[in-house]
Amino acid sequence: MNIFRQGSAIIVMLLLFGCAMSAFYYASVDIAEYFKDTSRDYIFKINILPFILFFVIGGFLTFVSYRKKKRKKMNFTKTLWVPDEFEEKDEREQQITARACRSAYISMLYAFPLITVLLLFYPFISNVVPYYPIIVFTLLPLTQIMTYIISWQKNYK
Amino acid sequence: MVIKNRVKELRARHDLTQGNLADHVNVTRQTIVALEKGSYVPSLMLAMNIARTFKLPIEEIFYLEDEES
Repeated sequence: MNIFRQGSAIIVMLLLFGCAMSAFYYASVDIAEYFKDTSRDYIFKINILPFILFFVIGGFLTFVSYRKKKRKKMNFTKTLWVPDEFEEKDEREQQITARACRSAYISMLYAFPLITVLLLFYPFISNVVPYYPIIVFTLLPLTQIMTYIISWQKNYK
Repeated sequence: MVIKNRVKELRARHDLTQGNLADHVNVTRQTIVALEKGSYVPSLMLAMNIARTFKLPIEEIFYLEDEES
């Protein structure tokens, strides 16, 4: 199991999703303003490039993962819902996964207060980076998956 | 106390590669590598499967040893 490749795919998806949601933030502001003043000739404007990248790259990565699982004749529920990182081939890999999950769980306990503190800076930079909370919130799953990968790699050797 | 094993020695004696043994006991080759290095302590099920492959009792393959030695 190449955890680094699978983890990288998830990180890329998370980053692209974060970018797409940041782009959607401006659209959301536009929509809110439209409801205040419906005489405007448009509802919202949006930069669709991050969405296109998310759906194209995300779709490709999902297709590759789906095809690989199909080849291994995994059942439909597993194919759809179980992340690639949990494809343990034997008991040792199950043990490594369990340790990595434990590390990822602990990382959340530290990441949550840190990320909450980072959110306190929002009033100071809200004019420059209005979508700052989206970026900060994306750090949470990124911390989790990176801790998982590092722990997996460390225990696999 | 640590659990040591004679898997490497027995595998050589039975003329088995790491891959062959892994296939016999239904694990990955990396698990056999880790087992031989002593970095992985197998489950009772895997230990029994290995013992059955070598036709030996478990205690003749896996044994306890003081960490100092």
